[in-house]
Amino acid sequence: MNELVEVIGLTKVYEKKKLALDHINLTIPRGKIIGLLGPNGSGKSTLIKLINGLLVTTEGEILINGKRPGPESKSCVSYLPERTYFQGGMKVSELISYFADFYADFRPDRARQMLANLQIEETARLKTLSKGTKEKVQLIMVMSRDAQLYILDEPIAGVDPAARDYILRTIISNYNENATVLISTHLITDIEKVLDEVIFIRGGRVVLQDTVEHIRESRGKSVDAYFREVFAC
Amino acid sequence: MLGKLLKHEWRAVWKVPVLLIGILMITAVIAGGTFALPIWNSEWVGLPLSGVMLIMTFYFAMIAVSIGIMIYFAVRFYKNVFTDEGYLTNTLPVSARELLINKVITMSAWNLIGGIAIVLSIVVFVIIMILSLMPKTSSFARDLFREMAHIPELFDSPYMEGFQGFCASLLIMVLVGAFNSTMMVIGSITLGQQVRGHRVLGAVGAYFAISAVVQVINTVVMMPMMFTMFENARMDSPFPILTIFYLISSAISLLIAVGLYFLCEYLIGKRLELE
Amino acid sequence: MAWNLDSDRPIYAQIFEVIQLRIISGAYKPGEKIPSVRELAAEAGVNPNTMQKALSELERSGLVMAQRTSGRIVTEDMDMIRENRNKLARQQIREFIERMNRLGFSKQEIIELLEQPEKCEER
Repeated sequence: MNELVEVIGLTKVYEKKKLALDHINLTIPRGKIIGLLGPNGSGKSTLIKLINGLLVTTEGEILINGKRPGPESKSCVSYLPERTYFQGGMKVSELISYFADFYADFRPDRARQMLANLQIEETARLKTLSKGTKEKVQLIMVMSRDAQLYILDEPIAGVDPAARDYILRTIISNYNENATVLISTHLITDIEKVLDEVIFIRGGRVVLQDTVEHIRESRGKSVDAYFREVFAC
Repeated sequence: MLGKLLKHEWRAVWKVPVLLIGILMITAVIAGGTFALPIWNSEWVGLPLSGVMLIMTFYFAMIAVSIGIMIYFAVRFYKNVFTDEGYLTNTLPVSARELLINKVITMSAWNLIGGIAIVLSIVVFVIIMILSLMPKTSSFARDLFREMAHIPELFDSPYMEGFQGFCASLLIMVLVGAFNSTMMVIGSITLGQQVRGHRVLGAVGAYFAISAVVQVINTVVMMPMMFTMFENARMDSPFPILTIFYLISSAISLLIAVGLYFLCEYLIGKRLELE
Repeated sequence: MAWNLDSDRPIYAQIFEVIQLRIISGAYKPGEKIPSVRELAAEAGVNPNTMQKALSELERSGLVMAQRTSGRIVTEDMDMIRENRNKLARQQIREFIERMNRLGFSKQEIIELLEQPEKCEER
């Protein structure tokens, strides 16, 4: 079987010659929770958008299950972007039927259960919800799919500790057993315990890819402490 | 998947154009109804003037509906594909072709519905006007029906030769026009995306650029034809010439619209860059 | 028993201790089914694979047993639970004495203090 994601010599140059990714090589295995770690502007979001087909590669290639990003890969990748992407006029119930119609792996019952737990009314219009609630609804939709790859872009940035715990619990208890979860963040302390592997990225290059246990054993310190050391300026 | 896209698109967009058309119909009724009011023979000029104003409102409402529908769909397309909403739209497991065809069909259909609604509103206006005038002039209805009885005779005159063909070409032009104006809007917005940093401005610029190109093509193709045709034509009836004009103009519109469609499909499928 | 997984030691070892303590203290009763890997992982906020590893270690120690159907139950071997309890107690005492020695208390003084803590203030 093909690797879940293979990134080969991937380069992305934006307009005005801004180099965002510089010949990156990566393999993302199945069945792992992986942290994509790096400071702001290191290229995390660019890599994620490229995997989701929202940007054009300048050079190199991304293969998901051996295929380039397209309708097929989109049907097995569940993506939580940094922004809220709802059409404000939609009701929560309409959003559920929207996801159920387009994603064959979407589990409406699971979404309804989670929404009920948070006491979010299905008749509510999305634009009437608070920012925090909207983000939770979006996470619920994304985690209610039985996807092969979940890509979560900065899911815990700027939320309070209670919301952060809710988000992490939701991810852990809902992701598909054989699936991989790729979480991008610059806040490692909060998320270290959840990860199998980490990918450090800086200035558009991969600095390190290793398992959390191995880093802890070989370096004798937490990944967070090691991260601070690597990225100390 | 196209069916599902159409279903959700339709569900999301129908309210605004229906509201606009509803308002148009109400203004048509009001404008037609002004003829029943005892204001037209008033000494004071203000009263007939306000009647004229009401009728003018109806006229502006017709323009507002066609422009309003166009702008509503332009904004929706831009937001739904190229801004935050695009993060969901463009990660649906559908091809760029399905996505675009969905948008084009929905927008063309509503352009057409808007056009039909405008024609209907004129019909409503005229009917209400006639009903309003009837009680005032007792002979009005009789005169009207007598005149209408002559209409079939009109078609027998040589002047009406080729009228059916003309109607068919008009229908074709209306259908192509709905598709063409859709592609003009979608095409300019998509082309505007290539102007990174000034995407909305780029869209406006693209619209004028495309319009200018279309104008030039039309002129270049039409001018020589016009001259040759006027030289050779029998001038009994204007319809055969108009029919040819409309058909040629439709063909040009169709070619441009199809060209824009494939350009958009390429740009959305292969060159998409979300900020 | 809360999950305080903050030290730099391997996380699975810390999880092991928390669950061990839950069994010894009777929070999980002998013969009782313990929550699934995923439930425990979500509760502790850790990776399910890490939780899996901790539970495998617990299986190896004999404190929990995998069931043929699914899930794990706490051992019904009371001797083993008692033994684990005693082992932990001995370990705690050893560490306690070590620390007291560093403070300069002899074994005799420690025993006296344990019986009459107020004596400490008289000195």
